[in-house]
Amino acid sequence: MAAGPVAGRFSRPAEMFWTAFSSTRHTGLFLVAPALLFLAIWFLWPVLSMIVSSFSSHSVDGVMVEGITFENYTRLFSSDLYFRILMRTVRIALLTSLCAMVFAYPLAIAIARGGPSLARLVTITILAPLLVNVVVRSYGWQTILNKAGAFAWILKQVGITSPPVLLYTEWAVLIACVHVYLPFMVMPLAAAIGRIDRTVEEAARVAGATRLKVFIRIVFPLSLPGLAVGASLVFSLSSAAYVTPQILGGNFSPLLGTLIEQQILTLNDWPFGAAISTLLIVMVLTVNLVFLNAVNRRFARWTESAR
Amino acid sequence: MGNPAVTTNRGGGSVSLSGISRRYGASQVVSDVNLEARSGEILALLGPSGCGKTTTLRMIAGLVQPTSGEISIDGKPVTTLPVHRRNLGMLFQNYALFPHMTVLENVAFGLSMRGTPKAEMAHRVKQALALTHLTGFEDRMPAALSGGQQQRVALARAIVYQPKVLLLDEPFGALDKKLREAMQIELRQLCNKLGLTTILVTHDQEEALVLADQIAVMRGGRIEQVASAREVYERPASHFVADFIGTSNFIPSAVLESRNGMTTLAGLSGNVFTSSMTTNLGAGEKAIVAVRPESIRLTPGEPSGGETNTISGNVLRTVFKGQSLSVWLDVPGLEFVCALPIEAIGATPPEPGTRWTANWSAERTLIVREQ
Repeated sequence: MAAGPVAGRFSRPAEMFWTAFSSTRHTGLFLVAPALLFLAIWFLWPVLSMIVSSFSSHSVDGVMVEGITFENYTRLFSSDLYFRILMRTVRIALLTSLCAMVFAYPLAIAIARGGPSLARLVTITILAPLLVNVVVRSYGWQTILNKAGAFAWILKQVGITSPPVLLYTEWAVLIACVHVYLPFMVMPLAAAIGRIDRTVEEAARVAGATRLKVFIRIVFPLSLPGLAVGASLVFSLSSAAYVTPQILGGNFSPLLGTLIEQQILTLNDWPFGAAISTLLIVMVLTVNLVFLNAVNRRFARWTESAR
Repeated sequence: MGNPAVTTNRGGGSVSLSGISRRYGASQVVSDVNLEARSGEILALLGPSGCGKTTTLRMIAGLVQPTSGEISIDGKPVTTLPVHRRNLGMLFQNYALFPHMTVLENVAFGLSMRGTPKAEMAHRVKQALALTHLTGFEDRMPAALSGGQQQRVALARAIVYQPKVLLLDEPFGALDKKLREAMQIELRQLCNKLGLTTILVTHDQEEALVLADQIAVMRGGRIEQVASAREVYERPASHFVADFIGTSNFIPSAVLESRNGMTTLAGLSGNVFTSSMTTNLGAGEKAIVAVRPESIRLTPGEPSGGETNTISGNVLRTVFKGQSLSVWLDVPGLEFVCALPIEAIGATPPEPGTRWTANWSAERTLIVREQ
């Protein structure tokens, strides 16, 4: 059979397969095919069928009426309640991203620029909460933000006699969301800052920039790609958050996630639940595309080459 | 024509380092360095990698704090002054341009940090770009420039705010040979024109010879010799300097006598060398005779006898190097290399296996300390 020692190692079909697989322009396609197939079957198809179901029937006084309809969407936009919940969801998602950004910069700089032991310590501290279930963490925040909780106690020690009630308000949801989603902001940001050439910062300092100016003029703009990824992750995750707003916001400040759960599990109105879910997906997708596009366009200019 | 607007910056600052040391944990990177760069002078810190030259430069910039010692610029101590207030220009090995700013913004950066008024800023940036032949490139991004152009932007960015001292950290390492040589000449002219005090770090002896008025040869965190380019080359203070700058043949010898400005030494196998270099070594003490390959004349056959500064041997091999022919002679204990200028090659060039005699003048006999 095969003469050479290399050819002899493979059986004939395996060798043919390898040749076809490894050296064509379809190689990349072969490599991503398993993941794509998985997503298509278990994600894309369910989402599409959900969107279809939001258009294919609606409920009238608890009875399903089949047929093509926009009734679910007109209902969604005709009621002030649903619009308020949508706005609250967007507001909390944006505020979470913003707060996470403010907290993430010092941490990301410590990870990217601190010594190896500091970087490891900060990374572990940030990632450790991910080991604890989000339900447990939310109940943890509940006991902290309780009227008789640790937060109120500290405020009383400081001398504030009537501490604000945070639990079951948007504030509680915001605080917990920032805590839960902070790692998703810090890690891409740290990676982006780590990629900034240190001599670029040094050049700025020699040229007369204080450390603050170096941050504003050099580190911040050059970390934008990482910030975009982080903000996009945090915004998407927190606008779709369910457990945290449910436990800490209660029924007094529900978000879209809570609304979907009510429609599907409590009221059994699946088509309307599907319509809210579709709205959520469209909103998150639009914000992400617009945002990432803006950042990418700016970043492309920095790396444009003479060729 | 001349350049109209450049005359304002005459006279850079003088830099002095006294007893500068830097330790990282257990390793002493720089030990007790004393250096002086006079106003308007180009000083090169030359040495192999790891000799502490870059750390020394970074201490002058303020990017590294010395463990002990004092740095002053124009007589004023700056050791504790933060980087951004030292008013220095610096060129980095990888240029370190701001990738998100245009050429114009890069060059204007230092001025905007100093709060320079708009009109003056525009004028000075224009001037710096003209000096570095970058006019017309204002709106390009650094990524869209060639290596040489990026180098010029970095230079314009460093000189635009008229710093007291220009620091260069291996600035030409990433350029190809032709471009590097052109940039070296250009930089030297620019520094002279602006009267900028310049401190250059390099491991490339040729670069130091081309650019510097003074060369400080460093080794293991210490200064081996500080002298003019010519003196470092012709009168190296140590075996290391003679070896690092140019090539040398080293012949272990012992001093016979030293008087009237002439020193006589005895080499291995009875060769006698005379040198016009004086030495503080006494008779009988060990010394090393160093001879540059290009100081040597070659004649066929054995020495005529009685002559000093000759050494003979069979040709081991020859290599043609363009402007010269390198000839290796088999001398007991060493391979003696001679660089024969092309026009000095006679009708019968040295062939491997034939016997030749090398001789050189007393002025070209260098005596260096043993290690």
